[in-house]
Amino acid sequence: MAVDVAPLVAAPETRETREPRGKRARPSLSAAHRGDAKMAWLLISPALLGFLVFAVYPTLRGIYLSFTDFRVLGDANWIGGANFVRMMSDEVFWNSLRVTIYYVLLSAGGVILLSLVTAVILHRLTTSTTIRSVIIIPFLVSNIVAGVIWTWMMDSQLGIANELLEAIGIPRIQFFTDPAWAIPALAAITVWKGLGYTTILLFVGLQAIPVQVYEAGRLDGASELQMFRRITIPLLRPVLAMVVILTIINCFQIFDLVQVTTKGGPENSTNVLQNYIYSKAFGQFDFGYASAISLGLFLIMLVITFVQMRLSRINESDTD
Amino acid sequence: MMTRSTFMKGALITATASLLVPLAACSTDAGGEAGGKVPIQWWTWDQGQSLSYEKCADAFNEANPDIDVTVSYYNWNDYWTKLTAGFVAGDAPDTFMNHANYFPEYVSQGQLLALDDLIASSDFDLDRFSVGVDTWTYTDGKHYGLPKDWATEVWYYNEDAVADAGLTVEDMQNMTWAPDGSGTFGEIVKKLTVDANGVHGDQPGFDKDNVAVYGLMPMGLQGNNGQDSWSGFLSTTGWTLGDEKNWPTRFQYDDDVFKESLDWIRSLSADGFSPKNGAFTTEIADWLGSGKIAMAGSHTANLGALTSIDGVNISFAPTVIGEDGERSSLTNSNGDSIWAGTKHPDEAWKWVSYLGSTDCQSLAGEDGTFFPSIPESMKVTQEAMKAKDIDVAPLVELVESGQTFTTPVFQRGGELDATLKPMWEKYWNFSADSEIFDQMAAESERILAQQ
Amino acid sequence: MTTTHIERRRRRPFSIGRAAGWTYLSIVLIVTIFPFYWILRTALSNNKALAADPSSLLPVDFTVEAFRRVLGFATLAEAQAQGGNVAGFDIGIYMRNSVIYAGISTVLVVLFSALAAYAFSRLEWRGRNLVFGMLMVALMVPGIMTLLPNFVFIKQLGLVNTFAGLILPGALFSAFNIFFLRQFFLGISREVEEAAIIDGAGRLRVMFRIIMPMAQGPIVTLLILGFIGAWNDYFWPLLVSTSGDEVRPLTLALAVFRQSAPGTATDWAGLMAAALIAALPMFLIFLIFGRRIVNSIGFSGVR
Repeated sequence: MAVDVAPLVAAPETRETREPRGKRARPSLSAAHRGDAKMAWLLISPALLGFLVFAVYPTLRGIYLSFTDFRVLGDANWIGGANFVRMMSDEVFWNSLRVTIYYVLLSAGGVILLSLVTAVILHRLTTSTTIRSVIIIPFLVSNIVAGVIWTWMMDSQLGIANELLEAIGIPRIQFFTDPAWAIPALAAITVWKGLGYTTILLFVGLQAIPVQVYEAGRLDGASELQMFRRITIPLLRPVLAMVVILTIINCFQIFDLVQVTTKGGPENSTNVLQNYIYSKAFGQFDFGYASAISLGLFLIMLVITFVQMRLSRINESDTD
Repeated sequence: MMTRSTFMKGALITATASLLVPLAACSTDAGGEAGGKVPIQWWTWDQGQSLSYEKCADAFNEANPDIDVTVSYYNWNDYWTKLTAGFVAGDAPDTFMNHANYFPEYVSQGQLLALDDLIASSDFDLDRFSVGVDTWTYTDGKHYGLPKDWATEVWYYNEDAVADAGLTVEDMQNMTWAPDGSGTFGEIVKKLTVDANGVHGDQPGFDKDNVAVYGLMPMGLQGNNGQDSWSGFLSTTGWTLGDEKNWPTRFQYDDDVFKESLDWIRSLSADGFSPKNGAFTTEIADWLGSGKIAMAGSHTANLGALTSIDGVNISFAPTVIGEDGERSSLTNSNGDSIWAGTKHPDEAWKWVSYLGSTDCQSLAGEDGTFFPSIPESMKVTQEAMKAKDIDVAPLVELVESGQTFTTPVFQRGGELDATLKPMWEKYWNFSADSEIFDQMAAESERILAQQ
Repeated sequence: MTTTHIERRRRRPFSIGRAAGWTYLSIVLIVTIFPFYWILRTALSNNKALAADPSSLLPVDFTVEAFRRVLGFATLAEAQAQGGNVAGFDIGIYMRNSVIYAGISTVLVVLFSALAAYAFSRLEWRGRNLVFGMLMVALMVPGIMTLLPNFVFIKQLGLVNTFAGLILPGALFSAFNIFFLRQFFLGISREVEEAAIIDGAGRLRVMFRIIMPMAQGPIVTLLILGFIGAWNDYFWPLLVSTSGDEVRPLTLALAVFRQSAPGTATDWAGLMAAALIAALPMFLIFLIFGRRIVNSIGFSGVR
């Protein structure tokens, strides 16, 4: 059953597969493409301008500053790699890294797993847009609002969550002031917020899988679980891969939520990297060091993303 | 089809047009002159005081028609971020209320205007202030802020809870304490604590896991100088936070007396007399107002607000009497500073010096939202508060009899806060014991040693 | 699709499985919605009475005072009577600022992204993939790294506390938008374009008359997503809108409810009401465009 689902499902490598087809199939088009370069540059110029001025320049400046001692209001003094040496022996930095990774595992893992389950169940049970419309509501509110709501709901004295816990006999949990619970609480809020959106992304991916594939599977006597493993997951992989990559990148950048709830405490248990960077830059005016840490974060994310893209590319062949 | 491409064209035109409009408007930013008046900004982080000083602003604006003072209030957390952003952007407020924790950093970055020349040229008499001039003097001997107020620490307590526990006002006004925990303070805390079954903390059968009313507030949230919590205890032993009166080189947390005292205070939360760290996420007004906490420490700027909470009768008492029979209450003073980059230093000085004048201090002091540094104005505040049934005479007496101390000024307040806070939390959460104080002392030494 | 759906239903009589599925969905729906009900319940309560009855499902001592505070109708005395401390809150201006900021920056960035996405997908030119790759790397730059340099730059342009300064950084470039639209464009078959070109249409005409209209769905999606993002933006406006209310958007203005003055407890009711009002435009957009958003989110292309 070689149903070609490639055109329907987004895949990150289509660039290569598409060009040759176009070029080979219609030689006469190359002529029409001759004026393309000029026009292309014109079209991308606003975006490119924005990119250069507001993305590249700050990044380069940030990289430069990471080799300096810059107190925001004075001059930047070159100190070479001293900031990076300091970073290596900075226990708070390593703690931030640990804590951020812990958070990403819980939140991204939670979002992806739960969204997958929800998407599959939704897909099986109903095509109702109403339900999908409802689950996406948390996505609409800002992290600030979400933080505020949940701080109130999980408050140790007056929060409804603790009232419920007490009602079923479990002792109250200090969600945001107990070091063991702070990150899990933040991850829970992230999951609550991102579940709907991610579910829909996966749901759409599921919908793109043609029914015939399942029918064929059923004819061959496959069980639900087998079909899920052998058909759904492989065909969903490109979408799933994109979702995983974007979710992880997003979770690594957590900041708003921490600022509005725990501000890095208690005991630095929620002092995620961006929070640490922010407190170094704006709280202590140590912008050189903060830039060095930002650079570190940037490199980490680059590595993680490339690793993931590699992994998902290896599996690309599954889509036929 | 037509609709879509027309939309795109329309969008393009609207977009370009709308981009031009704000650009055209960009010349009017906050510093614009309105009708020839010189605009002077003044910021504060205390909402109560922003209202009190509005009165001064109104009076000043009337008396000086060529100057237009605006008062702005931002909450503590946002305040310093916006101030820094203002320094960087070059549009910080001309004048603002400043705090001893932050001003050294700003001076070292050249953001504050030294006031000495202005003081000299306008014959401003610094002696009018009874407190605070030292605090606002930097290591270079110059003045970078005008001290405007002073505050000291008191214990706010619930009158009904006190009566319930069989205690008298006199008991509360004369609490004693020694580092090993002996003294009436500890006894009072126990008596004030009541568990869910109505058993008081000093009675047999007290259930420390089921407390309805805590005798003492959470003690672990008070920062490096223990302002509202342990400062009044430690200082009676002769212990000082820094090794110098001002600009210390280290914080003396590793002192044995310090460790002993804090261990005792911390033990109160283990025994159920004060809440576990982090159990209460609210503020002091909530603690007292809800009746869940019988006694809480805070500074006198909150006197008016806390003693008038609905539904509870709150009174106040001075800090504990030490083993030598004397008190030692922490005092601090906020000041007004002028930004070094202000375009109108003379007008800014006019406003700031007015803020430090008896006229303004008495006018704003009527509300009882702060204690003026000028004794004459302090009397006004005292009278105003007396009319509200609050007698601050004992506190004024403390200052006059030398039973107060000024908390030291030091550099790198921000970094010290950020570095020591998690360590404090470890201690108060029982994740670490008093050995962590050695670490904290070492960290403080390292940070303060930096240029 | 519908026929096969019914077929599927008949084929799988797993009643336990389906029951479990529906139970799970119900739990998800409840957990999703309950917090919003809880905000409403708290916002309609008397702030002072909240402590007395934290678990009551209905508003405690029903009152609309919190909303009056947020909308600026309450006097300070009335606010303090309820345990709040905010008065004279001019919500009109903040709403206007948010609309301007979110609206203009979103329209601009989607427009520019669409142009760029077209160039990256339908045009052929040297260096295309390289430039695209570079732009995508921008997705990974931590937000914090660009914050202060951008702010300093805006300051140097003299645009602090202006709409131009607020809007500029986000109005030109969005890696995500370009990526999203490019994916979509790649999925459009070439025949339509080629036919038009053979008929003599210029590239620009093809782009505006044919391709863009086909991209309505994703474009509207991006407009909505972008608007939501800009509406909820907090830290960039915090830095740029330094004083006064000229450009301060709603998210910042509402922070005043998060503060507690020393003498009062946190104004939870006011805060919840403020959160609700802040999210209101989002809900409205959602009510109008809900189905469309839901139907056009996704990485698949043509539908």
